Amino acid sequence: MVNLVTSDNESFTVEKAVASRSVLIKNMLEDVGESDQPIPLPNVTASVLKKVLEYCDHHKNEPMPTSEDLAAEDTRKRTTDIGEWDQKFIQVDQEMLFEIILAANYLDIKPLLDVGCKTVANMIKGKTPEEIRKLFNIVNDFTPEEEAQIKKENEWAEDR
Amino acid sequence: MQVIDTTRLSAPFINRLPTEIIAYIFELSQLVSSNSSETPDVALVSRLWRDIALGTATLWTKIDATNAHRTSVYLERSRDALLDIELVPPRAASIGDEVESKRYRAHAAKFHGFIEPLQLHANRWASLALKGNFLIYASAWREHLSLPAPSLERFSAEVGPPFAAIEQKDTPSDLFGGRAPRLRHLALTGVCVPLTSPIYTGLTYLRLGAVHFTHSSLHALFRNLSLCSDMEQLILSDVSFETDFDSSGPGTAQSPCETDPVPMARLQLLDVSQRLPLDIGVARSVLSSLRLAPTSRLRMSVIVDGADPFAVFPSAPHTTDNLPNIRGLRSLTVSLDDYSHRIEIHGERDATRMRTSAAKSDRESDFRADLLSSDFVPASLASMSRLALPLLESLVLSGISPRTLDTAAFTQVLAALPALKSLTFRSSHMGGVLAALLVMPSSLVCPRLESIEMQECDVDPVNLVEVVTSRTVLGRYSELLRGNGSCLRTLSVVRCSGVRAKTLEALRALPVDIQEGIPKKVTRGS
Repeated sequence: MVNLVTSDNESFTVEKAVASRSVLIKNMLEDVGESDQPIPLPNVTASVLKKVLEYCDHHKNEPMPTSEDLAAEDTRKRTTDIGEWDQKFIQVDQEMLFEIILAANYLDIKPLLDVGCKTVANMIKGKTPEEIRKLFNIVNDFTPEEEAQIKKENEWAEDR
Repeated sequence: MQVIDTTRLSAPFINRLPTEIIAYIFELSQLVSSNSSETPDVALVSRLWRDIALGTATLWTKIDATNAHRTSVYLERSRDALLDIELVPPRAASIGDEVESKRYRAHAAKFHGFIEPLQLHANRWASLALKGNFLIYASAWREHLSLPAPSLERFSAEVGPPFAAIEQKDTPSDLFGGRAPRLRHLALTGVCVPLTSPIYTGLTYLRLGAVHFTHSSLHALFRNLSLCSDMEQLILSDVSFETDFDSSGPGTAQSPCETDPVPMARLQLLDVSQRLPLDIGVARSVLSSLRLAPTSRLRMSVIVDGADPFAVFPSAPHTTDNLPNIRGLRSLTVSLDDYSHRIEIHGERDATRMRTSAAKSDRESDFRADLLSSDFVPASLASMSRLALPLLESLVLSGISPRTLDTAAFTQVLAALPALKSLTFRSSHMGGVLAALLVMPSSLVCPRLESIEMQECDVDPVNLVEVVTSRTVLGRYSELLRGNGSCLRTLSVVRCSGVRAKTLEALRALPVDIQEGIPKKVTRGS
């Protein structure tokens, strides 16, 4: 078993197979060897780690993506398909969604990072810039001059 | 270890993500975006997003009619990333989008202006899709596609119907300078590239449509296919050849590869359609010159010789060797339309699939053939035995008549179906055809036949009772059945003329479960 300690000082004791879905933790375990020492995770809160561990537990028996897999991954052949269980898992509020993405990035759990990023990509799908701003509470900080410039860039000779 | 930028903590949640993650999300959102726009929408949201978008090369790799007026900007921003280039009319969903249509028409009218800035980046081309009448004149576009395209994986060029390309003596074969080593997906419709071109090798997908080869031979096609060992889909639509074979003339009985068929072990789909009676020999040669995989799907739509529509298939030994996918069929429906001289065949390797999923689209069928006679000779099923079907358990025949299938021919057909358990006739004039099923010492076909079903057929009642009796324990030669197979268990007679109360009474006296009544709803392929 592996003992993980979150930034808000909560301890989680989990199976090694579950914790090792994180490449960061897996490497730490390999470096330290057999030890009862808790592993500190200063960038992850308890509520987020709980969700992350739920994901890791569900996928613990799946093969880990190898470095060759990741190297061979062609950006052009990616898809935004998300598995059924993962879709339900990632149905969380926006703050938690982005915290999960951050945690997956920090803990180096590529499949979870993909689930989070694909979810956000699907949210953006088909939306206008204004709708995207509204969705993510982003302020339009272009100056009128910049907006005019962008509009001009996009003009097509025959449209004028 | 990741350090979170504290200045972003008051920012929107999404902006707290590291730049590279936001860029990754942008890349993914580009994948799901169906509409092509001048600038990716994410670049128009805020300054931060615009900066990230401008720094994400893969967001600027798709160049089409909507943004081609800014090709230089896209080429610069995409840096070294591979390019997807497309000049095709607006898709169905975009029809009505006048701006998009207008831009396509303008670029198609000046293809030179569209492609020229991209030519120097031919080494970055990953996919190139062109469609339109501007492809009719080779001189208008071929010179622009003469540079090597070492990264090109997909190329499609299509002239809309009804245009068909005819190979000219001087049709150049040096597309992409003969160097597109990564090309896997090639689709040419109404466009001719001689089969001597090296672009035909190493493919996993090949579609050739609306082309008449006058110099390239059919043999050259097979030679190319022998160099495409990973071919997954081969689609030939209205492809004809003036010269079938390299050394001998057209009409030669022996296929160039008959003695050594080209193995297509990974082929998932072979689709051959010939809507014009140009050359049925192409379909025939393809079937006798390729060795498909047991799981290959086969779709055919061809105009055949009316006297023997099944002649398009190779003779039985070759069917067994070359078409193991047909050999593995367990259920088959053959529908004959005597008036339109058309035979529709629909087969599945899973015997239950045809019954349980009638709605399954034809595209997913294991075997689908539309054979249309080119003359007014009634289509005949007599030579159906050319199809080697040793595993066939269920056969449905629809629309047969004594003109299309007589007793002798039906005996021959059934003799090739040793595993048949279920035989169904629909909307047929049976004549004496049932006599083929009569158990005689000299004739025992389909020894495992357990079920006969007739729906809306014209039946000779004497013939019916005689046949059914012979296939029960009461039959004179029933020991032949008991020793080699099984007796008939069920007979279903639904709305059949000729079958009256007296006939039913005689049938009910036999040790067979007799079913009669309203037919089940007949759906295509069910």
